[in-house]
Amino acid sequence: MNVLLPFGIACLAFVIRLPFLAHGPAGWDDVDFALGVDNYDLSLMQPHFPGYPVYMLVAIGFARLIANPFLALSLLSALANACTVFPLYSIVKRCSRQRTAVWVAVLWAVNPLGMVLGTQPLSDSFGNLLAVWLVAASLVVVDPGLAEKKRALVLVFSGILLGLLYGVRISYLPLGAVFAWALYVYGRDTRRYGDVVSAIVSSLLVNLLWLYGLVLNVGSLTGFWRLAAAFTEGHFSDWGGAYTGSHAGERLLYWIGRHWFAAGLGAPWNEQNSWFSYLILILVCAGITGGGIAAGKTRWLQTGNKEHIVLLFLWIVPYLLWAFFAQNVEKPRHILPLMIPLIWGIVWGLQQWRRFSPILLTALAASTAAVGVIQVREQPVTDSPMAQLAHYVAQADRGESSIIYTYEEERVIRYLYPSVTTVRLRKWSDFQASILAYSVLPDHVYLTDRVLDGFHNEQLKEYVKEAARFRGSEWLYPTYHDIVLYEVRQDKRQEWIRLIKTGQ
Amino acid sequence: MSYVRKFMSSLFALLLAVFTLVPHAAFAYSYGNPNEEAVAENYKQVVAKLNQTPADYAGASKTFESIKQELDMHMGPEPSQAITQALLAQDKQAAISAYQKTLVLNVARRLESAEKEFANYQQSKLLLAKALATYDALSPVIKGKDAALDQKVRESFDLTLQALGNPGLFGVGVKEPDQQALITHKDEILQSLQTFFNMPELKVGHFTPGQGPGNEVGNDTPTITDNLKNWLPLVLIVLVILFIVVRTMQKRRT
Repeated sequence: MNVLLPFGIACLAFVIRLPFLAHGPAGWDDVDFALGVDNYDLSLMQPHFPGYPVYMLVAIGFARLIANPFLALSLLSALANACTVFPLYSIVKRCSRQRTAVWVAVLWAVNPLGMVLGTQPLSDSFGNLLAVWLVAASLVVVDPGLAEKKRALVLVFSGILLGLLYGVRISYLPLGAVFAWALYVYGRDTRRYGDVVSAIVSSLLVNLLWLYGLVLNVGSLTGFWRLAAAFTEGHFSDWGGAYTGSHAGERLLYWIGRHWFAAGLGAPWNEQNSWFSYLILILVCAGITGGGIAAGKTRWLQTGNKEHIVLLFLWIVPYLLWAFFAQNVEKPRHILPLMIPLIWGIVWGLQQWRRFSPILLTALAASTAAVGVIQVREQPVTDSPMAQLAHYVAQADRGESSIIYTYEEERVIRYLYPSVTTVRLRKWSDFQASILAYSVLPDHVYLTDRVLDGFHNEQLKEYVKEAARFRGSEWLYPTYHDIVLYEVRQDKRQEWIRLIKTGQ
Repeated sequence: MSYVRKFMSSLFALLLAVFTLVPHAAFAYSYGNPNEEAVAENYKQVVAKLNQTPADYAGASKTFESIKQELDMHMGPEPSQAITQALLAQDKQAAISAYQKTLVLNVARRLESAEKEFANYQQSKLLLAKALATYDALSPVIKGKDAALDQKVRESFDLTLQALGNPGLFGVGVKEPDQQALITHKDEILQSLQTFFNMPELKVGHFTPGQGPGNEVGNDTPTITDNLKNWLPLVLIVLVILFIVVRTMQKRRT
């Protein structure tokens, strides 16, 4: 395999991310990770359950080199994104041609979702690297042309990779199907079931390894279970949320339009409306048309390599269903493991346009890179909306007393300004108890829009005024890119308290 | 082709089973808090009832009744008697003040227990968390009158937590425990609270270490931060994996 070519593309991916790395807190999760590299403590939610032990171990290493934990973790993400080029190149080349592999790798290097997550202090990019690596390894295992010893070794390696992957992101659970298929094909071809058992045992042991590490950190097995139970009990979706459509069809359209097309590929959505985005939309449609016609003519199971086709199918479909049904529909990052197959499909579709394909693909790469840069350009220079909110509230807290009712925003405010009184609300009675606990209310009573909207009570809004509004890129901060801070009006405080006393 | 179809259909059956059997909420993105303290929660509810206009004494008494027995068991009957009497007399200020003093006693109880359970990392940490959860309920009162004191107490809480040490992650980031620091900062906290709430002493009734409302007794084995025994399973697992890899690499019959 020509190593220089993927290496060059990996360098491109790394270099294009470098100027845009995040420097500060933006949300609940990255604060968890930043606290965790300093003082890993599962019971204090540093980070939250299930602890991301394998990721955190690597992250702690990076944080030893760079003092700012957010920058260190973002650098790790960028590096993981760049390294993803190697397994992805190997996968595409093995199933298709080198030229296709180069195009998929280039488009991955400049992919908007990859650019966003490759510059943020989150675990997704590192998890995706292991996931793609697992697929590449499993693809080697199912190749009957290779020596049996090599296949056996790679099978065990796949098992270890799967264990590590779960230690990074347990939510990549369905990708285990890829490993299951590798086990099945290897066992069927060689009848060496000892190797199959070895691979399964290795995988289980790696999982056990990081689980044991977590138990040691918590202090005991019972304590660990208690945390697990608390994590599954309290859930986050009980409040607010920008997405309100409940119909499955509506949800599907939102998911495809906003996440797959707009966040994933750079197509138009809301304020993302430069002509680059429209060009992308046209080119993607051209790819789908070209690919659709060609796919109809291809007799996949007769001409293609069945083992490869099933493996790719198992890479995509189980996780696709999982991402749609079981993951937070508001966060585009959950579709990251599927970006490479998606890009691959589009490249393949555009290649059906024969002699036009180099032009089309070049145009797609260029406009994708442009949208990618547009999406992340404010990240190194502007504070995230949550951080802006924290600065504002801290300013108001100086000299005068204040209290702020929040939802997820609390984590960032407390991280930046521990002295500000924040209350994270989950239900009405908490709110009531908290307000009524004061014989005299603080000088300023703030509520974020998530809290106020979460009550679904129009009456409450009559007593508040908008104090400030904090905005950021919808793509960098998918759930909290537009935060409105309300303050209870000074002239209506008594009525407000009366309303709260009477209950809801 | 049949094997492909068989494999796929069984996989889908499995996926379907997972989706239908496991309740959806279990997957929801969530961060629960295991460190809540029942007394502190009860206090907030009681105060909310009392601060209504007119004050809901019946409701407050009823709410308080639900925790009274446990309080008596762990702190002796005096604290709850004071609260009950004030509620009966319909004296809102006295009831709230008595309950606040009970919370201070609870902080003391939790902190003393944490010190006694020092060798048991997980248990002492839980006790500290419950002490802090109790303080969180008192915090608005203190902050309203003396914001600097609130700041100071919170810093002391942070330091008590640090004094417990941290077992780290696979030996990375290990922090040694420091019992003397725990005692020092615990005393700081208790001193501050005792002075603020004007209490003659904090040793009322009897404390039962490691037990209390909302805190089941764990028969946890003590964990000492850098215990060689802890490394044994880790080393064993790594050795088995290495053994498997080496065995697979070995030359084999064809």
